[in-house]
Amino acid sequence: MNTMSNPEQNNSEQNNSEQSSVGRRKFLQLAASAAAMAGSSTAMSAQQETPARQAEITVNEPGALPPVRAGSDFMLDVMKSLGFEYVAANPGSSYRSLHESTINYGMNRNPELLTCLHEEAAVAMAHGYFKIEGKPMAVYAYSTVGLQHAAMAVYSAYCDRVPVILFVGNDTDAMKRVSRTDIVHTAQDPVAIVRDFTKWDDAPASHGHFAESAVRAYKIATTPPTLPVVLSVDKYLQELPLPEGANLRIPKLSPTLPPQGDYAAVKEIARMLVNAEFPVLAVERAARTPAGLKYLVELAELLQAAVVDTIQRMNFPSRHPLNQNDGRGPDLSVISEADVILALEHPLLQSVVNAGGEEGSPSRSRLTPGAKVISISSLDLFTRSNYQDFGRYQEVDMALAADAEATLPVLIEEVKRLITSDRRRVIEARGAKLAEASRRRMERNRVRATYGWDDSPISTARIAVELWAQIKNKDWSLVSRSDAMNGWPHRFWKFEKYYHHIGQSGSVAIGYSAPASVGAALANRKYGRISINLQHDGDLMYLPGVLWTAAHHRIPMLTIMHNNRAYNTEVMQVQQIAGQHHRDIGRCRIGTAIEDPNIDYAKLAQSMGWFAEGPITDPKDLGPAIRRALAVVEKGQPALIDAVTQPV
Amino acid sequence: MNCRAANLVVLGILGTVLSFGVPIAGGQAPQPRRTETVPAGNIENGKKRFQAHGCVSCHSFSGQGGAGARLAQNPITFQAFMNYVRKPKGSMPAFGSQVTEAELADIYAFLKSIPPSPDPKTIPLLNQID
Ligand SMILES: Cc1ncc(C[n+]2csc(CCOP(=O)(O)OP(=O)(O)O)c2C)c(N)n1
Repeated sequence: MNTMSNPEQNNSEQNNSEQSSVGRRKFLQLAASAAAMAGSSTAMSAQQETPARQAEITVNEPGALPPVRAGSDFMLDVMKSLGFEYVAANPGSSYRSLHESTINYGMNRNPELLTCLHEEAAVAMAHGYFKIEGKPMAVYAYSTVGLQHAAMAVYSAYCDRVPVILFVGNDTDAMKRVSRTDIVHTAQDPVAIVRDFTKWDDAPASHGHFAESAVRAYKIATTPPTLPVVLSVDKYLQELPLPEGANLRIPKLSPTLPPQGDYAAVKEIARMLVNAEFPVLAVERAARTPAGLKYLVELAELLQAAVVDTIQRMNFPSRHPLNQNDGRGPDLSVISEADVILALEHPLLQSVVNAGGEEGSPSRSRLTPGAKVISISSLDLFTRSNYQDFGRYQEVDMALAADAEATLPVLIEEVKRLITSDRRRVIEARGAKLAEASRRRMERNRVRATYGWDDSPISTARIAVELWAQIKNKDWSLVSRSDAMNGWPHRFWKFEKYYHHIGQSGSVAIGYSAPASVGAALANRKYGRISINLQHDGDLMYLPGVLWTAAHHRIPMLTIMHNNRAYNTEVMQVQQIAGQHHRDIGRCRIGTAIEDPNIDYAKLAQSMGWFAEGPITDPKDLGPAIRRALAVVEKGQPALIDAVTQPV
Repeated sequence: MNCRAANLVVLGILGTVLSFGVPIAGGQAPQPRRTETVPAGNIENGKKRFQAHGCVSCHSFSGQGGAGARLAQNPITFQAFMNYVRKPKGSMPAFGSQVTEAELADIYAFLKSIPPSPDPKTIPLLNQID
C-alpha cells in the first residue's frame, strides 16, 4: 500500500502498523545503516523516494558508490544456472533482496519476475507452466503468510506430480526482527506447513549451502515422481554483501535418470500382454513428456489394446479408436473383459479395478477370475503418509517400482519381438471390434450434442463444437482442466499432440484452473500456440486477479466462461443430501449459487485489461464472438467471452 | 466437474436407466400405456416448478440432461414419472411429497412440450467435426 495515498495514514492505529511513518523511518535508517555497513547503498527505486529518505541517505549519489554484490546476487546466479525462465511471485519483504537481485542484478531476464496477485496463483501458474514446458518455474514466497496462501496450490502440484521450486524468505535471526511485520512473518520452521506435500526442503545456513541445496532441490524435484520442493532462504543471508573474493562455487546439476523396470520382469509383462485375449492399458500420468505419448500410442497399437485414460496427462489421443474415454470419464466396462491390465503411473488403480465404494457402499471387483493386474509406477519409490492421495490399496500380480515412460521403450521392443503372425490375427480382430465401438460412441455423442443445441442458456456441447470449428486448423492448446465443460471437448476435439491438453489439478481443488491456464498459456506463447481456457465461473472467482497478471504480461489466451452462475457440482451434492434427509431440495442453491447479483465477467476482464464480450445468452451469437476474440488473441492479447451456460 | 460429481453422474444415470428403461443416448423408449389418463398440465407453470425444485441443476433448463438423464420428450408414463421423482434410484434425491401431483403434472406437460432436438445431419458444425 502506498502510504502517501492512504487517507487513514494519520490514525493512531497506524502508528503500530507496517505502514506508519515511524516504521518507515526505521526501515530507512536500517537501509541506510546497512548501506553504510556495506560501503554502499541498498538499491531503492525512484518511486520510493520520499523527503525523509532524501534527508537520511544523502550519500546516495548515483555513480558515487561501487555496486554491492549481495548474497542474493549469488543466489540468482545459482538460479540462472538452473535455467529458470520465470519466477512467479507476490512481493514480500522477507525475499526483497532476491526480488531486487532478480530485477536489477539479473535485469529481469531468465528468470523474469511475474507479478502475481496471490501466492496461490503464483504456484498454480508454475504448475500449469510445467505441464506445457516440461521444466519447473521458480516461485518466491513471503515467509509465513505467503507460504500459507501458496499452500493450496503446492498441494495441487504435489497431487499432480508437478515440480515447482519455491524460495521462501524467512527472518531466522530473532535479533534482527525489527517490526511487528518481521515478527509475525517469521517461523522457526516455515516449511512445516507444506512438508507433508512436498518432496524435500532445506533451510541453508550459508551461501555455499544455498548453492548446493538449490541444485539438489532442482534435482530431487525433477526426478520421477516429480514433486514440489521448498527452500527457506534467510532474509539476511540474502541481504548480506558477499565478502570480497568470496570463493563460492555453483555445483553442476547432474540430473538423475529415472529408473527403468527390471528387465526380466518387463520381458514377462510383454509375454503376458502379447498372449492376452483382451489386454487393457490403464493410464493416469503415464506420459511425462511428448515421448511418453508416442510410446503409449505405439504400445497400444502394437497390441490393439483398449486404453482407459483418466486424462490427468496427455497420455493418449482423444479420438484414437482404442481410447475408451468418451469425455465423461473412462468407460470401465472394458476392465471386466480384460485378462491382463497394465496400469501405468496410476495411484487410483483401486477405483478402476473396483466398482462402487462411493458413499460408504461396498465396492466389488470388476475383474474376471484369473485376470492379471500389473503396475509400473514411480510412486512406489516415494510415498508420504498424511495426505491420502496415494489412493486405496490395490492388490496386483506384479508391481514394478519404475518410471513408466522410461520403461516403455524396452517393453515395446519385447512386445514386437514376441508377436507372431497368429497373434497378429487375434490382435487385428480385437482392434477392429474396438474401432467399431469407438465409431458408435462418436455417433452417440453427435446425437447427444443436439440436445438443447439452440437452448439459452447455451449448452456446453454447443460451446465445444463452435470452438472446435474455429480452432481445429490452428495450433491450439487446451490450458484449462482437461475435463472442463462436462468433457465435451474430449468427445469431439482431436487431442493428439502432447500440448493439446494439460490434464487436471491433481487435488481436485477448485481455483486451480484459472491460474494454471495462465501459466500454461505463458509457456505456449513462445511457440505461437493458441491457448484455450474453458473457465468455470466458480473456479475463476477464487483468484480472479490472475486475469490482470495475464494482461500485464501480455499472455495471449482465449477464455470462454462456463458461466452457470453456480458452484453447480456442490448444488447437486447438497440436493442429494437434502433428498436423503427428506428435506427441501429446492433450497439447495442457498450457499451454492453465484447470482444476485450476477457477476459480469466481461466487465471484470475488461477492468483488468482484457478484450471481453458478453454475457452471451443466445447460442447464435457465440460463433461470431469467438471469431472476434480469436483475432485479438492472435494479435497477442488475452480475450474473454462470457457465455451464460446450462448448469452442466 | 470433480470426481465426486462424476460419481453422482454415473449413479444418477444408472438409476434412471433402470427405472425408466430409457438409455440416455436416446435409444428406443417404451411407449406410454394407452389407457393412462394424464392430468392436463400447465406448461408455463411446469417450467417454473422445474426450476424451483432444482431439477435444472442435473437435467438442464429444458430437461435435455447433463449430470442427470435427458427428460425432454421422454415418453415414459405420467405414473412412472411421478413414482420415480418421489422415490428414485441411484443418486437422484427423493422428492417424496415435496412436489405435489399437480406440480408434477405441470412439469410433465412442460417436458413433453419441448420440441425434438434437430437431426445431427442438419447441423453443419456437427458434420464438420472430423
Ligand atoms: C479449494 C476447493 N474448495 C471447495 C471445493 C468444493 N467444490 C467442488 S466442486 C465446487 C464447485 C465448482 O464450481 P465451478 O468451478 O463453477 O464449476 P461447476 O461445478 O459449476 O461446474 C466446489 C466449490 C473444492 N473442490 N476445492
